[in-house]
Amino acid sequence: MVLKTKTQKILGLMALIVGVFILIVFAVGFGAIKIPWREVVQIMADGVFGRESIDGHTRFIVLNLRIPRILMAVMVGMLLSLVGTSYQAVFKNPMADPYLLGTSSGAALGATLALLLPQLQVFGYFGVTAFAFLGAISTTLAVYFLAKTGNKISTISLLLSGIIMSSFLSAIISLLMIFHHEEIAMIYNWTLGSFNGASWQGLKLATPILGIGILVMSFWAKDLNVLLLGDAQAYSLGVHAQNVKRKILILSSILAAVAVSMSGIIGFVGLIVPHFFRMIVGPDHRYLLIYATVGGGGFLLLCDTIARSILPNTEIPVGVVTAILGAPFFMILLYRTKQGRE
Amino acid sequence: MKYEVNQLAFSYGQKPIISNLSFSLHEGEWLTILGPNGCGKSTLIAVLLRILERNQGEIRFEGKSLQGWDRKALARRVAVVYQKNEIPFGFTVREIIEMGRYPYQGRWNRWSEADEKAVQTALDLTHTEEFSKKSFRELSGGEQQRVLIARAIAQEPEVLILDEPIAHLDLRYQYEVLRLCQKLQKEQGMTILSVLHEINLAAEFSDRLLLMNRGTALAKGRPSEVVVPRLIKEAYGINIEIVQKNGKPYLFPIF
Repeated sequence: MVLKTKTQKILGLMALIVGVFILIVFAVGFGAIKIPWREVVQIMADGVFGRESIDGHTRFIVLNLRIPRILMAVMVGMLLSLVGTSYQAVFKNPMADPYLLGTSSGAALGATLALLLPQLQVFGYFGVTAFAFLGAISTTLAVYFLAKTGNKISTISLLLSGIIMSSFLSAIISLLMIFHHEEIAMIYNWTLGSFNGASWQGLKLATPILGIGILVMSFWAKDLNVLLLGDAQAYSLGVHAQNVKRKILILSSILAAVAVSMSGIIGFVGLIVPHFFRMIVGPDHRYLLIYATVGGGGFLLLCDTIARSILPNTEIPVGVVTAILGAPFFMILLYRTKQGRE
Repeated sequence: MKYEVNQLAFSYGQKPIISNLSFSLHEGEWLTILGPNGCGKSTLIAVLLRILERNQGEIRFEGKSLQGWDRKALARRVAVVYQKNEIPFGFTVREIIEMGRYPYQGRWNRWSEADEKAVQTALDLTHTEEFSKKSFRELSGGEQQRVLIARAIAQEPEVLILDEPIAHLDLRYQYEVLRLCQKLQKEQGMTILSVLHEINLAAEFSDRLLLMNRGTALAKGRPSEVVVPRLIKEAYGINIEIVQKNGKPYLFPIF
């Protein structure tokens, strides 16, 4: 734990929020056409106050291309980290993550079906999210019950169940790709994660859900702490462990589904970010939840900025960047778990 | 009267675990439940804590039906310590003890002076202050058990339930934990309900014993009434000899 007192933790959080905001401004300026940060701030301020003081072309790039994409990266990062943090508490396991547990694959399959089947397209954008949710929640529950032996969920059985479910669901997605040649590029983008489809419409749906998610999860922050003492101990402190866990899993699955329906499958964010901030502020969820959420937004934006700028004229899928950063991290974590240090 | 259990029955599906069990837990006493593995002791504890809901019979706590108690209100009166508690992530000792205040706190309200006082008392009674800033996982088994008891004390309970609290501890820590509980009983007036496997220790520390076998009460009474060759033979299937020391029975198995 780096930040020990309450004052340090609150100041640290404010610094983190400011840091993410600065990152947003720089990321907006970054790209094929460089835009100085003063102009970015100017355009943002204009947007808020309804003025137009910068020339139309730059304004168009900033407001319609860059900002939606960047806000989406931030928002998806926030959602995935929030989900990862709450999964880790419910499963009592630092390896729980929407990607490794197959939740993301389940959501991706649900969303793919909603995009491909003409009967389902009447629901529009909402339908995609709804089917992503159905895929996410059923996968999460399946993994939960597969991995559970008695009252315990071991790391190994959790990861195995997650891997089995993800490979199964990914295989179905691949099958769907073969049957729907025309949409193959779109589905492929989904499975690797990308913010190319960013739009204000998606942001409008996701923002309130993220807001509610943060509020409701913070409402349960103390319960998440108590759950880590074990179910029996949680009951004896007045927490109905089964009920609370069920509610948290449902809410997390909604949040994961929203993230996946915006951007496809992006792995490891929900694993790395909570772990990192547990080292900074400790495991108390009253701080950890909000730190990991804000920090997750910053982390994924950083990855996305790398993804779209590291190679000239080529964009790497952001999921590739998070996996390249995340997989070695995951190995270290697994190694330390084996040694009983996690 | 703390707990009054009347004609209790509990089963998992078709498999009966507890049947026709009646006993009561008096205020201020130390009652220990003994019995062979699988006799339903731990299930009984889970039912008393409302982790499992009873099928039949009646359980009253302080005269009111257990089902009618609000969970948090019950948690302010009854605390539990288990044999072993693995806690993931690096919570500090103090953070874990502070969680004992959960039933006294609302969702958003601040840490109160009463909370601080209860935690300080728990730290003092268990001598855990010295490692209160350490990570729980770094402690030895005996130290961890003291922290878990401290967490239960911070809950300011009237009844402390101990489910095999010393099963994995060495002799010194076994005595240390039981002496601490004895102190809580004698000095703080706590009522203690424990599940123990060590019959000699149970007889030494408890006021009364409840010997269970196949889900029901085989015998209830003072240690000298329960720890007798006939009853022990019936419950555990082994022959014993009794030696009296300081008015307490000690048993030796005979093979």
